[in-house]
Amino acid sequence: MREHLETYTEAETRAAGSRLAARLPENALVAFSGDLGCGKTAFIRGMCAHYACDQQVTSPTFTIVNEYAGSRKVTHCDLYRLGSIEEMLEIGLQELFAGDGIVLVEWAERALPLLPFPRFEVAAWHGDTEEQRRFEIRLVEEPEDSILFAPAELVTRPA
Amino acid sequence: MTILGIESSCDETSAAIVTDGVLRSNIISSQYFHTEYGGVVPELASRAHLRSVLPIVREALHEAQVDVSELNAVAATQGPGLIGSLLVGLNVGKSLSVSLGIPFIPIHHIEAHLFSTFLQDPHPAFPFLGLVVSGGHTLLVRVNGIGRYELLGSTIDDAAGEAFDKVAKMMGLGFPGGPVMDRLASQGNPRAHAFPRPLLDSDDYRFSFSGLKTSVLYHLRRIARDGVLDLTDTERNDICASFQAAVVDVLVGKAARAAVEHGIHDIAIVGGVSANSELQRRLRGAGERNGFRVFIPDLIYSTDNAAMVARLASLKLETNAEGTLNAPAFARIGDTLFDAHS
Repeated sequence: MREHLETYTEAETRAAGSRLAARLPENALVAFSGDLGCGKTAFIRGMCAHYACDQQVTSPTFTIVNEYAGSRKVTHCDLYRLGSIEEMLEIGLQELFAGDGIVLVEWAERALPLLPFPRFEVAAWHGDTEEQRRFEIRLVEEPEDSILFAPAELVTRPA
Repeated sequence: MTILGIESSCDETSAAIVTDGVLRSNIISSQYFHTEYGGVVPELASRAHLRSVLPIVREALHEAQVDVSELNAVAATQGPGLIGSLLVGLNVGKSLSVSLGIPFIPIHHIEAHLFSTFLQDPHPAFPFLGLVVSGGHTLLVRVNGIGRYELLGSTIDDAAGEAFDKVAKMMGLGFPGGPVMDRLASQGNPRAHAFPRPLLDSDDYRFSFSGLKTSVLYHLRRIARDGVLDLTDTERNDICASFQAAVVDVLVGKAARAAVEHGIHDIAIVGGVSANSELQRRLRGAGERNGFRVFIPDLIYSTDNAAMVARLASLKLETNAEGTLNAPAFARIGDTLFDAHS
């Protein structure tokens, strides 16, 4: 599976997430890479709407791991604040990745060596206009297939 | 009545002693262990908590000049938080309880924050509103009494503190973003940019900060040249001030409206973002106009600490709460803390 899509509103982004959720097997891991503010939260909220737990979705940036109880168990994690692979191992990410239900991982490129196969990957970018978001979704069965990337940041002059 | 409190829900390991409601010591790992990195080093890994918890408990006892045999109860944070981290504090607390034959009081992290203003005098009177604003949480809670809470609303995406941290990161201001943003904003023009005030006019108490973050990001992308952001001091301060004004407008607007609608006279702002000087100033101003008092914990009690854990345990014991060892760690806030009929 491999597809590109563009969305122009938050509702479209949510709908795209919901469509992906509808096609996932019972236990699936979805790894996300994307620039800050490019629609990952909306996409995940759409996925969780399909699992009837979108009202429970909040950002796991600070808490690292959120769990939602819907039609399936959904584990939503965010590796933004994590540093080394060692730290990720210590908080039990490997066990979490191998757990039951749907596992959604934001900033997943930071844990590349720990991500299992097969897995789904979603890469997200800002588009050409402020409304446009671009997504690529892929089923990844071996390392060469990965589309995860380290997002570019604005380069700033030191304050 | 002397109580040991332990907190290990997220980045900090902390232990505190409270005797008859008065704080005797409060030791926090980020202050206790000076590291080569400078500043706060997250202790997300349970192994880091494991290393620090016993020395920190000993230091809390030592500073309070309390012998372990003098403890009457022990309390620890049960959740929400990272399970591995929580288990460290929770199991040390339960073990002490069993070996000393004293009650164990499990504490909800958010509930402890709500009572962090009770470490000072004066403190709010029931019923009061608690605005919990931190890196991980943004909630507005009506506190009718100990154990009687009504959730009025919470964030549907990012927490307020997370918005501060992420906008600061986009602007290259470092982590954590709150204090530096506060300082720069005080030198800027809050009306320079009209950033959105998400859900300000909704007729409920939900919050949303993700869209505001994205709006600031798009502004930065528009003024960046070839991906390089080269702001003058004035531009940078104006963006900080305008962003902060948007966050504060929403927090103060909702909290003040809730106080008026519920006829409440006391508001406590707790959690790390309560240290924001503009939030404090504006909420106090709203309090003067609308007739409510504003309570803010000292900075050291606004971030994660065991003092509030021990203090809440003492309040619970005063209301005849009984200890229990049946207290598993949990990750999510859950619904158990809040009862719509309380």
